[in-house]
Formats: sequence, C-alpha cells, structure tokens
Amino acid sequence: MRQNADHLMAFIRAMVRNNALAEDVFQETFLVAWRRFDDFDRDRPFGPWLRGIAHRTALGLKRKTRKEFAVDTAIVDVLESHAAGYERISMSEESSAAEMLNDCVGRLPPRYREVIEVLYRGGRSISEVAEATDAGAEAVKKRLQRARRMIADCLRTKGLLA
Amino acid sequence: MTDDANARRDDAAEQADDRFVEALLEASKPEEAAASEARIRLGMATIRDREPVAVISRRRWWAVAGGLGSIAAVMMLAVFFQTSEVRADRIIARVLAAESAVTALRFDVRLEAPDGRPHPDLEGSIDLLARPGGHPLLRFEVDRPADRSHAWGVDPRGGWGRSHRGIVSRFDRTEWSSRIMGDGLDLLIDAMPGLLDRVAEGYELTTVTDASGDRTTLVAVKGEDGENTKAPDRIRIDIDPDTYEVRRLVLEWNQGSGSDEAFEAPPRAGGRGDRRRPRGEGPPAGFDRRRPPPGPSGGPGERRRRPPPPPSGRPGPGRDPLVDEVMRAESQGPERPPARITFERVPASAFEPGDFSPTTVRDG
Repeated sequence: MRQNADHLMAFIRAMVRNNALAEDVFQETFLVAWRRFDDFDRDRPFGPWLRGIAHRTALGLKRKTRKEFAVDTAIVDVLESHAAGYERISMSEESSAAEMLNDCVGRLPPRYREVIEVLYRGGRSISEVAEATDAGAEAVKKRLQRARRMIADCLRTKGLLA
Repeated sequence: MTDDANARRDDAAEQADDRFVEALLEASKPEEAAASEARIRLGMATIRDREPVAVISRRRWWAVAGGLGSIAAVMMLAVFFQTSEVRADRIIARVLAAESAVTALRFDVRLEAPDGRPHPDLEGSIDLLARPGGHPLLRFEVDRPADRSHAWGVDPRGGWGRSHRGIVSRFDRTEWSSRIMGDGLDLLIDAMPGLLDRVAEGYELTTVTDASGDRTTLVAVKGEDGENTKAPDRIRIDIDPDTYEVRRLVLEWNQGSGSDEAFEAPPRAGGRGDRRRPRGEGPPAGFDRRRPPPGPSGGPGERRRRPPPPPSGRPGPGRDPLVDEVMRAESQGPERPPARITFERVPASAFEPGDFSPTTVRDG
C-alpha cells in the first residue's frame, strides 16, 4: 500500500481536484483493490490496474454524490501516462519525484516561485497572497497557472511527465 | 485528424499537465507526510478489520426481520444507514488526516466514577505531545478535588505518578491509563490517531450533524467482537466540520447491570487482561465535580509549579491520613472502568519533551 500510495493519490487528486473527495476515492479504491486482488493478472503492472479502479471509483462516486468534477476520458488518459511516469520514478532509486519537483520549483523566476512557495508550502490562500502582494486574486491565479505550466515543462524534461 | 480533434487533444493534455502538477504540489505541502501516513493507516485498518458492506447488510437484515412492515421504511433505513456508514468512514479519514498533523494537544478531562463506587469524580487536564517514531508524551494533572490532586505522566523514560504529597513513583508506560480506566485499557496512550484507528476498527459508526451545522458527531458503538472487552461501550467524538479537528471526546461504559461481570474480559496470558499492577506508591484514584477557582494558565510547566494544597489536619471523606498507605491500597486501581470520561479540547501551547518529566512537589 505504502509503495503505491503516492502515485495513486497524485492520480486521484489530479482527477477529482478536491482533497476531501480524493481521500474518499483513495480509501474506496484500496478497499476494492483488496477485495478484487484475485482478479489481478500478475503478469501485468499493478499501478495501471490500481488507477483503473480509482477511475471507476471516482466515476461511481460522482454519480452517487453528484459532485461536479471533470473526468473526461482524454484527460484521464494523459493523467494515467503522468502517473505511470511518477510510479516509474518512485520505483527507481536514482531520484525522487519530490526532488524533481523541488528542482523545478527552484528554477522558476522569482515572482512565480514566490507564489508557489507561499501557497503550497506556506499554507496561505490565494486571497491572502493577493492581499500581501497587492495583486488581484485573478492575477495571482494566472501567475499560479503559468508557474504550473513551467513546472510541467520542466518535469517533462526530467521524464516525470509524459 | 481534424483541427478540432487536435485542439481537443492539446487542451486535454494541457489540462492534465496542470492538474497533475497541482496534485504534486499538494503532495509537497508540509502536512502531507503525516496525512499520507494517516491515509495508509486508515486504509490498512479498513482492510484488516472492517467490512462496511457486511455491517450494512446486517442492519438491513435486522430492519427486515424486525417486521417494520413497509418496504418504503426499509428502503429509507437502508439508505440512511448506508449514507451514514460511508460518511463516518470519510469523516474518520479526514479527522485522521487533520489530527496526524497535530503534535501538541491539551484536553480538560473529567472522569466520573462508576455507579455505586465510593470514589469521587476526578477533574484535571491532559497535555500530550506526539513524537514521530516514538510513543507520545503526556501529563495528566488531576486538580480536583483539591485534597486529592496528583499527576500521572509519560516521559521519554516511561510512566510516572506523583502523589498528592509530591512523591514520585515510576511505572510502566501504560500503567496510568490502566489504573484510571480499569485493567488493561490503554486507549489514551496512543494520542488521537491511535484512538481513532481503534474506533474505526472495533466500533459501528454513525454520524450526527447538529441543526446549525456547527458540529458533526461521530457516534461509535462497540461491535460484537468487543462485547467481552472492557473497551468503552460508546464513544462520542465531536468534530469541527471545517477543520476536522476533534473538539470533544466522551467515552462511556454501560452501568446498568451493576455487576462487574459486564466488564469481565477473558484472561489473556501475558496480555493486557493478565496484567498485574505493581504494588507501591501511586496517586490516589479519586476526584470531584467542583470547579476550582481560576488558576494560572499556560504550558505544562506553569501547572507543574502549582503546589498542591497542604493537607488539612483532618482527613477528608474517604481519605486516610496515612497517604502512603492509601496510595498503596489504591494502586490496585479501580475494579471497574469509570462511568464516563469527557475530554474537552482546549488550545495547546508548544510543548517540550522536558515538560513531561515528573517534578517532586513537597508540601511546605
């Protein structure tokens, strides 16, 4: 469980974009995987099987709870490739996904790096950042989006993103 | 491939990139390490001991067998229980994630003696410091009744007790919990995530949300597997619906039988049920419901320095003037768990491991 938890959670979070819902999908996925473990073909990789269960679980939860989150097949296909890259890196001992992410964040121009640091590592909200930097919330959101795009490009060069 | 299809594919790829990086950044938050651990613990506990579907099925069967008569009523019950059960699981997961990131806790505590027992109720407070890779440190200062003030604690060396007269004794780490709650109950030594793990494992859970939406309560009723144990029969956990932090925790034991048999646990060689308490000096197990006059507030150190009241010339009710002798006798501990233990969360300051070491206080 421990070995698969990180890439599974990243996949689920990216799919549902809601931390509380992601926790629910994670727990349900693991329970279903445990119950259906006999169905798993041991000649095939475990990660995609687990993420397939997570995808179906999220769809089921979406129907049951009427939560609004996009699980467009085309997006999920790309997320699956990204999660596979994350899983591959997690299994290797050369470098960790966290190290790669840190490196990519460190390479951001200062104004973008600052937004990422304050929001994700300083525990601040977008409105707090907007207030502190005298920028509007929309401006902060755009800066954040651009920063994530730069990080994505950087992670792609490192092989973490497909 | 048409231009539209290409555009859609590019858009999906861009959205996926953004979402995945966002997920990685979420995972890099400082609290995520503890949350991840809690997630795994809950998942393992669910796999190991709980089968929510089986519980729901049993309840549905019960509803039908109970002859409720109306199909609609049965369906409504099934939907209610299923929703409640799933919701309880989610709440436990979120509380575990929230509490795993908290290392310093303080609770005001009240222990109500079992019915028909001469012990007064106890009131005091517990400070608790969770440590990665080690057992939690704690300090339970019993302030009321004033003539029986004493303390229990766990520091890096193990358990300790400080009598009303300030005499410090060393015990096993789990000893204080066993003495207070009856033989073998060490529910309190694991800090909140440990307690919640146990609740998730051995109890049937339902949730109640008050009308104002200000509080969510998890009601845990001991499952069939625990009927012959001394674990609490019911646990109520009041949770802040926004932060998922535990505000209040109430452990209750059935008192109706008036017999100790209800709490008889099967003997387990070498296990908790078989544990014998060491004889020797230990704090008296007595307490009172009266609130004390306002005292100093702050960290454990402040309360530690508060000296116990000097012994009066006459013994109080049920108190032997030969305190040491009383403590020897009472170190046998209560025969039954208390009727109820209530923990009210209060803001905690930052604790240091040194705050949890015993301090000998002699009355002057």
